[in-house]
Amino acid sequence: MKLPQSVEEVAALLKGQNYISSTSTSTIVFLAIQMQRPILVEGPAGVGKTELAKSLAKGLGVELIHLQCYEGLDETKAIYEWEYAKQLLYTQLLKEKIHDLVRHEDNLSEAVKKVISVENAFFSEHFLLPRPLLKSITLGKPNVLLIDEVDKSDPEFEAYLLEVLSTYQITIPELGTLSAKVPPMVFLTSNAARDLSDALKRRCLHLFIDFPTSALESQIVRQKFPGLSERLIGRMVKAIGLIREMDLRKKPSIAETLDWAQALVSLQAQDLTPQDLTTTLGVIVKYQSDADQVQKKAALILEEAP
Amino acid sequence: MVPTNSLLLAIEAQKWINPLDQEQFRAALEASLVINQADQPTFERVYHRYFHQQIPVSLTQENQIFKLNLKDFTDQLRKEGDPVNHILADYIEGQTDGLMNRLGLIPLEPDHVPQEVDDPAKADRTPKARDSQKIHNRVRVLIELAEDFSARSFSMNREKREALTAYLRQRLEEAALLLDQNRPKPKAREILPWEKKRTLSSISFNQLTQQEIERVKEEVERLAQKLKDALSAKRKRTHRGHIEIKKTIRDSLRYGGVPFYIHHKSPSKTKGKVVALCDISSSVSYAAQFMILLLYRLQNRFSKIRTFVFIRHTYEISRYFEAYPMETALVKATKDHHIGMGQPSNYGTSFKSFLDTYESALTKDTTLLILGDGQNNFNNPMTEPFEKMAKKVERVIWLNPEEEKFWYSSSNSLRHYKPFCDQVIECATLDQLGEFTRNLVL
Repeated sequence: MKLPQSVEEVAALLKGQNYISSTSTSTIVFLAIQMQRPILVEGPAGVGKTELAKSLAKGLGVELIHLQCYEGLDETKAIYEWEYAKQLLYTQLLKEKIHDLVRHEDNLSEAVKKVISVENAFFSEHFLLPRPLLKSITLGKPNVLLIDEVDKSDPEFEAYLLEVLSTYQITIPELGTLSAKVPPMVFLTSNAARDLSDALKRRCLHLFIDFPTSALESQIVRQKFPGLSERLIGRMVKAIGLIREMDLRKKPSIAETLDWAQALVSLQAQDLTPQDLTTTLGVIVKYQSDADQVQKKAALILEEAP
Repeated sequence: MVPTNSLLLAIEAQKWINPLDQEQFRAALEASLVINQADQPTFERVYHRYFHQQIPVSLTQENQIFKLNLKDFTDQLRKEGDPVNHILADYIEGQTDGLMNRLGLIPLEPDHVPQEVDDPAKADRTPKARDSQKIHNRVRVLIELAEDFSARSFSMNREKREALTAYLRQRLEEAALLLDQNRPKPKAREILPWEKKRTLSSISFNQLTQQEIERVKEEVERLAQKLKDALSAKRKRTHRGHIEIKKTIRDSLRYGGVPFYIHHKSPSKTKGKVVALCDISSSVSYAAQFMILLLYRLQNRFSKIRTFVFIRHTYEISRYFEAYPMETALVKATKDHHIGMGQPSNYGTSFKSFLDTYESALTKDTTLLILGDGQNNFNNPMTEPFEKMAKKVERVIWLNPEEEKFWYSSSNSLRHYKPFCDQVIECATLDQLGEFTRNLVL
């Protein structure tokens, strides 16, 4: 795997995966790679935060390790867990062997000492069940670690992340510290459901992806749907821009624009008619009240998007 | 404030990018220095101010003839003899100290510090304010002049003439932008001496300025998050409570009778219903907004929240909060129901109309929250409907955004309703609201 050597190379690499990035996005990704720093990607839902990590992993041809955060996520789900069942199974299987081991000891304390001297066998990496974070650290080759929606996790979990993010190592009490031979490229995404701790923020480079400019959005749609006519793309992007300016509960983002383009392709629409807008409205807005608002202004939107 | 390690990060980042590419340079600084999204506008302001003080790159790359022509223009400017022209001429040549000084961006030597203006009415007419207005007007005229001048600089070819126009226009527009940023902002309310030491969380809702209201809303959001965090921590603790024997034994059979996985009973969620009745006459409408905002941010903590507002008559407005963002919901609701916020409230008729229309909203597991100052304007308090309401619900909590000493004035009806309430709480500040909500949900 060859790491990109300039901002332009990052942009080209992402473009190769159908991900059109702005200069600031590719600059920050480039910096994160060169400086081996995690990136904290923030922005509204559906602007391509997760997609950025996926595209980079694909473009570099490395494994993507995905950790989806949720309320109640703890270290046993995110870092590692001992495989109790396997340990128990092995103790059962090796009962005879243990018996042999302590047969010649005269008293209990000597027997205990003997067992302690071999207990490491049961707390070895063999019985360790790696979860995404440990897996990423111990993989031994470059990989992209995506910690998705970190704001959904509990504040305590953030504390576990600090060690991983600053030193790329994980401490397991029974085994010691495991360090990454090749540090992963770490992406954290957040929808700002809550304020992340300053300690976590300090360790990251920050990337805020907002709704794209209309030029960038047209380019993205064109890249993904080469068959669509320029006129239709122009009208779609303009209409989406106008809808975003309305007072909606959930504004459509780039994901919705692409779904919409897909819907229009499926319907073989040549132009954006009020009929098209009405039938595909559910793709753009996700709440009934939003749909009502857009419907009311449909004529105006289509008129202003020539 | 920028922490030291962010600064180090920013310096390190410069090693890797092309510092002459403005977009890359800016992105690198932004990624390392802006930790909170809220600091973004500050970053933009400082970035602009700082980096436009430098001599523009384009000027160093231009040839001698271009510079001579530029000097011609600035010399003509200086001939006028007006100090403002001198400042602008310097700015065009890349020396920005004069303009920055005039705008007060660079601190003057101590003996140049102007006398403090005591009378606030005179403050707007300080020399500085007059000055920037003057420069501002001048810049507008000069942009036109500059275009005219470059068009007549025949010593250069057409391409260079255009470059000169573009350069002059850019510098002058930058000067205009800087001046715009320094326009005096509309003044916020004077902070009264006794308020100085109080923080936002302890200012009474009635005394907030428009700016502070926005900030309190942000605080309410943060408070809601804190409470949610506290709730999730509590849920985890209770999770470690009772052991579920049956499940544990059943599971242990897989491991030869050793109870490896201890199963716990999931804590029963004691979610209650909340019915909130808010007085929205002007004196208490902010307190109502903040409380509703907080309740809805915590809505998954309750099995149902229904919100009603009243002045003389009660209306349900729950659906507005489900459909619209918090900021617009209350405005839309009051508009649709033609509720004039400025009217005097009547608690008696309001409670009666609530009982007539929404009696079914009250059940044995409901907490009835009343938010109001009890100011009944000498109307008949009609305690009967309220007594009936109180009997139907689990508990009645009355939140009063006024200080306790005003509760018992002759026009206030709270004393008539108090016997039927389980609690009457003063809730005039963010601190008090937070305290109350904590007790309600935990």
